Amino acid sequence: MELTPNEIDVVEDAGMLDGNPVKLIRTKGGFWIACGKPRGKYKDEALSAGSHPAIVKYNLERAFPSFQPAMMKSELLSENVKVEKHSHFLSDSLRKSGHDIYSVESSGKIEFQITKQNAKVYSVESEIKDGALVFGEINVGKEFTRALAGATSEKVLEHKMKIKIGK
Amino acid sequence: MSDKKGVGVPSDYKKEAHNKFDVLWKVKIKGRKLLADDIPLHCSLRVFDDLPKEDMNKVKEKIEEFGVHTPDSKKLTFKPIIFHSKQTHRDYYMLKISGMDGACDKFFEYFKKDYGFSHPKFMAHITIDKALYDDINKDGLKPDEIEFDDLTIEEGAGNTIHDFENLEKGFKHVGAALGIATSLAGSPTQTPKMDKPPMQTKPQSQYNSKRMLASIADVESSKGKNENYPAVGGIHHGESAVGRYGLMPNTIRETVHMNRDLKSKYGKALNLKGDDMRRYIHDNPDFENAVAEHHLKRLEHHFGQNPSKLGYAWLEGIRGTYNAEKHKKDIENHWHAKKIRDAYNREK
Repeated sequence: MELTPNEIDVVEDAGMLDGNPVKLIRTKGGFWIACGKPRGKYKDEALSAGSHPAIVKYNLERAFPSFQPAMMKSELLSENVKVEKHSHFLSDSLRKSGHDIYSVESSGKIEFQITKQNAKVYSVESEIKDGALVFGEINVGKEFTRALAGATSEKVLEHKMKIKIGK
Repeated sequence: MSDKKGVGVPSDYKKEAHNKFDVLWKVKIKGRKLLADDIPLHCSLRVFDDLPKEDMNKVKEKIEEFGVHTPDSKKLTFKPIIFHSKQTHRDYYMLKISGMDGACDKFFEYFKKDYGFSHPKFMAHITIDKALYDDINKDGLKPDEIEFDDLTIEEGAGNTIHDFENLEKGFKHVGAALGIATSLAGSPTQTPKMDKPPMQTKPQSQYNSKRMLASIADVESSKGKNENYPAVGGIHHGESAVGRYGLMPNTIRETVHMNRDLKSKYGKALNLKGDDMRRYIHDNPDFENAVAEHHLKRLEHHFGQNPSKLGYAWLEGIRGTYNAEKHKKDIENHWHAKKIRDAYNREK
């Protein structure tokens, strides 16, 4: 993958990997890429990419356990953002075609993102309010409804909340 | 008697046995090892609601400091009683023990407060069921009919997380070796004084848990190359085994439930079934390895380090293996036991 300077919006220090710096790049199209030099490699390469910086960081930490994150400027990357992968609720065929489902939780809000090859396909936002996870409009393809329900129930069980649809 | 196993053991007792931490000796009474389900017959030194690492270290330190050792049943007296608990308002069949070493009282007193419910004094006993109670009342109990196993820490019934005596055995082997070396050198040696009769030395086992797990993965899935398992009925409700070790979702959930670390890290697995569990295992290989290690450790605890028996237990479960032993089934020649044993012998 090649990026020209014109396509880059922001570059941030993401941390260190095996003694080498890792940069987090946001493209003007809103895509995030973590770049760095893993052990044994001579050139920088894309280590992780995605539609949300916290998801990029989450996948980076899983793929490279020796990655040491830096203090991030971005609120979206602060320690208070919790990412979980719920792709085990997706059917085998959706997984094979590169789909994933994540939840991104921060400041009383949980966003569920469905991605394909790391690019966002659907996003569903919800809010933790009065002991309930409150959803507004839910607009996802019907093939993803089971996975969204599974991801939602995992978050609801984790927080011991109820589910409420419609604000 | 076996048909009545566990009768008279209250359900809240079983629940506590599964959920709490216990410093205990497992015991064998008249050849029987289990109280009910997979709960071993045991004599608790102290039950803890929780046992974080620092408290666990304190327990280990105090066991050593007070010199708590495995009791010699010949020096003890046992009396079957029905104990009425003022706390739970229930009756418990018990074998009350007198003559325990004072070190046990010291240990109990030290951990009396702030670790969960405590009796006012250390009350050495073994909870038994009605069948054993009746049997002992009828025929009595000779000292050689009761055997105390190693002192261990259990996280949930039958899930040993620390064995004090194993360490001690290790030290004693070193001591014995040193003793032989000095006597060969012609120096006079003095036998160290021990509170406890010297343990019988066992031949060094070549068994290795990692090798065992690799053998299981080889037999179950050709080390992850073929993870297509058929659906299983009965208690498995049509679920299939999953992953490279061919673990049943039920076993995975049970193992997570019984292990605090797994529960805090992978607690969501408790609610997963069927394909969702299969995919979760696939996405989390560290979790799969951790569950397999814990499950094997549990089987080793029940059946020792015999690859054939462990291979059988991996397929048939703990209860199934005990049943097979009881009915004198030829475990060594069972197809799965043979496959695992052959794979273990091949594995380096």
